[in-house]
Amino acid sequence: MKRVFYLDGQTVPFTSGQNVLEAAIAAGMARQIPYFCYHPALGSLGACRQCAVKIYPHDDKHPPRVTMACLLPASDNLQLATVDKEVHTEHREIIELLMLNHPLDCPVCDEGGQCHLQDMTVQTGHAVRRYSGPKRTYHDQDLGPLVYQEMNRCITCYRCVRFYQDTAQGDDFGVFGSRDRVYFGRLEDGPLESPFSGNLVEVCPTGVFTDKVFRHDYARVWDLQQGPSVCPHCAVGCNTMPGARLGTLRRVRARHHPEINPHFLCDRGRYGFRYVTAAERPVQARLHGARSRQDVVLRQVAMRLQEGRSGFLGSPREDVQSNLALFALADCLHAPFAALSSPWMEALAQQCMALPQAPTLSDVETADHLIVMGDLGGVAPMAELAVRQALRNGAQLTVLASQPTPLAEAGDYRPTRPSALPDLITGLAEDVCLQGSRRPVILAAAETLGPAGVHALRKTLARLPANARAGVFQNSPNLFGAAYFAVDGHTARLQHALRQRQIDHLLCLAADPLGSDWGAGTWRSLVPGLQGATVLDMVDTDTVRAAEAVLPTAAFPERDGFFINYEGRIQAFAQVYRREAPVLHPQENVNSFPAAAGGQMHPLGPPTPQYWLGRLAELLDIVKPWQERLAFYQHFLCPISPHPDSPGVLLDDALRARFEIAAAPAAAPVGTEDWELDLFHWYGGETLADAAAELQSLAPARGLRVSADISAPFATLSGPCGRLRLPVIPIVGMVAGVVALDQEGFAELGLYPGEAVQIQWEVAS
Amino acid sequence: MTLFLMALGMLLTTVVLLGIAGFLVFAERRVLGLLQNRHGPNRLGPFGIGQALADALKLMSKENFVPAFADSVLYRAAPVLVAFSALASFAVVPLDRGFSWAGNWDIGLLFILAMSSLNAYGVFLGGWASGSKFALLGAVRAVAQLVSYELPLGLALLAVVLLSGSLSLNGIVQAQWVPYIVLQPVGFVIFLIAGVAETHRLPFDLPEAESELVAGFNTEYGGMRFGYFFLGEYLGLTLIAVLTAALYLGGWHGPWLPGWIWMLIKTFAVIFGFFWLRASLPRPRYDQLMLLGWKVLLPLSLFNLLCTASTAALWRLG
Amino acid sequence: MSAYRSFVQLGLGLWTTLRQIGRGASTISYPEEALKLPPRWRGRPALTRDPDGDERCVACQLCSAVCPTRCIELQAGEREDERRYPVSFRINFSRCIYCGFCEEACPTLAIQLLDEFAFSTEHHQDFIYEKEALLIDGTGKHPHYNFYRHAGVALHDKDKGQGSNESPPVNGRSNLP
Ligand code: SF4
Ligand code: SF4
Ligand code: SF4
Ligand code: SF4
Ligand code: FES
Repeated sequence: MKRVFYLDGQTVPFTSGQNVLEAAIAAGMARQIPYFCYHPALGSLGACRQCAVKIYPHDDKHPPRVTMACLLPASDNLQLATVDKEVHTEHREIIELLMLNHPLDCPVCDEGGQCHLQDMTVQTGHAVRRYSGPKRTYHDQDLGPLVYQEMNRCITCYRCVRFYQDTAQGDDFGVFGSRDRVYFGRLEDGPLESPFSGNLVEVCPTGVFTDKVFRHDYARVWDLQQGPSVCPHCAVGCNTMPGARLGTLRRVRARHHPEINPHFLCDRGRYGFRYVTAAERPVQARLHGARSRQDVVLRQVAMRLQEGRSGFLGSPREDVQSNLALFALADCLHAPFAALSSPWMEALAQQCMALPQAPTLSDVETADHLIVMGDLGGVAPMAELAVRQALRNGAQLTVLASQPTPLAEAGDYRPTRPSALPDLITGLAEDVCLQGSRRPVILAAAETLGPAGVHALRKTLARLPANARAGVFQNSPNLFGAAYFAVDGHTARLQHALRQRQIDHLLCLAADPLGSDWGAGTWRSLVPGLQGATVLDMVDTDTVRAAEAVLPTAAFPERDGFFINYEGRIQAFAQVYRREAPVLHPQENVNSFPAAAGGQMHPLGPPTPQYWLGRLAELLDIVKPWQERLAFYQHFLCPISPHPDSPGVLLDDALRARFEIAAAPAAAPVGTEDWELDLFHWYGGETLADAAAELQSLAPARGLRVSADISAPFATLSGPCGRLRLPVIPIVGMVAGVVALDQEGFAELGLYPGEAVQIQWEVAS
Repeated sequence: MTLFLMALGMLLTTVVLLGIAGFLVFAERRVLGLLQNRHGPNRLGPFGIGQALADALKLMSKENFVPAFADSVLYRAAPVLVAFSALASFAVVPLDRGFSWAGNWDIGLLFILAMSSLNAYGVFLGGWASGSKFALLGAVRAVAQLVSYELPLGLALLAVVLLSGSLSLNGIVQAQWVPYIVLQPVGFVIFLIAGVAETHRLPFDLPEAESELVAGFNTEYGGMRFGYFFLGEYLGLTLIAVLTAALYLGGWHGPWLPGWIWMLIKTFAVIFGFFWLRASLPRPRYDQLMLLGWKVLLPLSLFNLLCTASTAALWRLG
Repeated sequence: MSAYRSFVQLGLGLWTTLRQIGRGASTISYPEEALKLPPRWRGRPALTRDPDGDERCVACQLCSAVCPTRCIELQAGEREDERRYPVSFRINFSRCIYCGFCEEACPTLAIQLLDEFAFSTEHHQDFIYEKEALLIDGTGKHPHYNFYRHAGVALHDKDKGQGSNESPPVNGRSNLP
């Protein structure tokens, strides 16, 4: 039976465990009960006293009384009223009290237009200020490049600390002082350390915390063009809501996805979007490093392709259609094609796709036993947030890693060498503790596990009870979509063809084989055989700089497409805006179109990769076969295209089944005396996000992370493809015999995590 | 020689009449300004008199354009017909004793009625040949209106004819030992109202009611063709005024001044009355117009005729 | 009876118009004769300055939000001292209907409808006034108001607690009762 209570005579349905406010908001009756401190993700506190309702007890002994809706558990047939003099007085006077010290800031406050306080004040009808005494003021803090603080506007709802300390479990932000002087901030000025600090902007119901990046290029929210998009910065695929105005992207906010990110977003997702506006972003076609006209460049590329000596390289950084379009073009030209830049990554992708259905993040939150391997938070921060929610719910956490990651500090840290992981994973099958828990979940950073580790994980899962789930994460948004058709030794074949001089031209789609992609070392050694490369990309990479021809592509909020995330979930994103710039002297430009107030705009947007590839197919006279193949592949992989507003559809299990026969890759043996490599990943680091200046100003220093007992200031590493000299960063709690290196380092050396490396330590002088 | 002089005279008359019509266009706007607390045209020449000339020049210099959907022959013929019928009527109007082309013509009044019917054809053809809905609607209205008001007009005139015993205008004027307005007050009012309706001037300008029909029957006209319609309207106005003067106000009779001056004074007084009506009264609805014509004016004029006839009969018997 | 009344009414109407003769015209021969504009006349909007001579507009975008013809477009920017200002501000006067909503919405009294109303050009584009053309050197109808003296934010010449009706900043670290 549907359970209901009554609010002002209307029935409100609820489910057990909900409080009255929650149920009323869910029933769309939020206008009747104003509130501040309640937040769906943070729960009730009862601090603001705003959400008053009147309750009529069923017995005759108690008189009706006013109480807080957010603290009142919903129960059957409750009789509640808000259309009541006492309740109304309470609503009005609490707002008036909250507004006593509130500054006259709305015109210069970035919250204006999306301000919960504004909404509630208008809603309760408090219009005239009666208090004329002096207002309380605070000094503000500098909280780093991402979040702006203006403490005068605080109404002490405690949402910020509840988020920062409880939800995100950060420890550098809190509440200070007493009385009516409480202060929400850090002990000292300085950047917020949590990878989720940007959410303060969204949880704070007033303008105390506002978006500092947005601030520099501010537009009121009612002027923003917004649309559903998907975060392109890691495999989780959080749902986002980019906002643009006058043809430029201004901000990114979280968009509700019930199973991935109901409320929050990590800072990489929130601030990484600045790659779109970066000054270095390629927006014009280039030939030999100089800007050139589109058709000239296209003709040059088409000529190259016509010679029949081209190879094609896709990327998990690009969306499904672009990769498939590239694949289809390669197919039509019978040219070698690879989606991933190294055979190692190919094996890894194959193993990842062979894994059984991964848990959603909301599944992770309800797990009771978690095993995390590698630096999960560095690769996929939102997965870390989900783990932390599980911890709050009482889950048990074991972290197997070589470095004391932030998560390691929150759980049971078992220092582990990466090369030992496959064996440990195999051993988990016998783990009594894991066997006995109700909902065990194993999460890992894909690259730390390596193909062998993921393979072992699959074998182990098969021996664990059916309720055990596992998910592996890496930091590209579309590994499955890009690699599905191209994992069977394609990269090795492409590299072989280049080595044998069968091809001398490479068409790269968002790939950076000469920069920081995995296996870049090998590619660099092949450069002598390369007559030229063509790159389609949206950020400035080493390969873009070295390329013969550059075809710039639209950023993700500037186009439609699909990503397939770590669960195999196909999610669509929609074009949010069109890149353009105002024309200051309208008479001068004929090819422009009007903006809102009669101004005119240049369309500046680089086209999508599909457009470029289509034009190439046109020049090569193979449009029809190209289109047919593209349609066929797309239909095969995503027979149902989800709508951008939908939660997405999962990749068919039958499609993934073919990877289950993939052979167990052999991991290179590492001796116990050898120095072993592990991946160090910063939460803001990712090829696109690397171009976001504000976020990158927080990046940790580059260096070689080793356990604290090494005192050398510098170390030189040598691998099969090169040598690298790096400053040494001692880390307390790191496993001895392991050094952690960033992805560029690996690319330079031509090595992979879990492999041995030669190191020469420089002795401190 | 006589023929030549006659042609010259006719030409002169036409030019003078056209001049008067042009002047009236201007005079009307000034008078309206006077009555409505505004200036009226005051930019070109003394008192803005140049405005009339400028408007005429403008109309004349415009392209004579025939819309593709119009019946080109009738379209061209209609404005000429309108202007001609109005002009021709003046032939029988005497300015003074013996100062007219055919004042003594003993079917003068009938001729005027015939010409005014011809005028109805012009208007209707113009609207119909234009091939446009607005024009056609305007034309239909015009015909219905002209037909409806022709009856009371004619009946009112009949009473005058009865009194004077003549159909020639000279005869009628001569017969007025006292202005007929005294003997025929009701007839005078009927004649005046019907006259306004005949010339479809405000407030009875339903055939071209611009707020409903763009410009009614002349919607598709421009340039000098439109100018003909325009002139026709003002000539008609002058005609009705001069007829009123001749039939009811004693024509050229008057002390001290020469007869033709009296005639002009009376005419212009009536014209002023028309302007005054225009400045003061709003346009009635179409059904009200019909109601007035058929249910009020027609019975009234019949009654008027009956009274006049019986009185005259009694007079003669007695 | 009613016919009689309508004739009387007609007569009264005619008499009313006739009486106007000689009263002279009430129209003004603009542009030869100057107009006397009432003090609250709504001419074209202009951007005014505060009594210190700084531009008043803080780029809050309320005027552009309220404008019924959407003819205001601006981009907010920040000065060194974090004072907000419009980097660009344009009004399309071929769309403005002089309704004055923008003036009413403006919280800083920056945008004001002053008395200029007769301006015409040959091209629509020339009606798009950029900020340089909109910003005047003066306070317009409100000589004294200065928004930043009342707002809670700090500026280069005004620290926290120095605005009107503000107490000095509290010590957020103190636990004293
Ligand atoms: S927090 Fe809200 S109410 Fe306060 S100044 Fe900002 S927009 Fe206005
Ligand atoms: S800073 Fe914002 S979230 Fe924190 S207590 Fe104040 S108003 Fe609430
Ligand atoms: S006066 Fe009205 S139409 Fe003109 S800019 Fe202001 S709000 Fe817009
Ligand atoms: S409302 Fe006033 S302060 Fe706000 S943007 Fe418009 S002119 Fe500037
Ligand atoms: S929302 Fe209930 S007391 Fe704050």
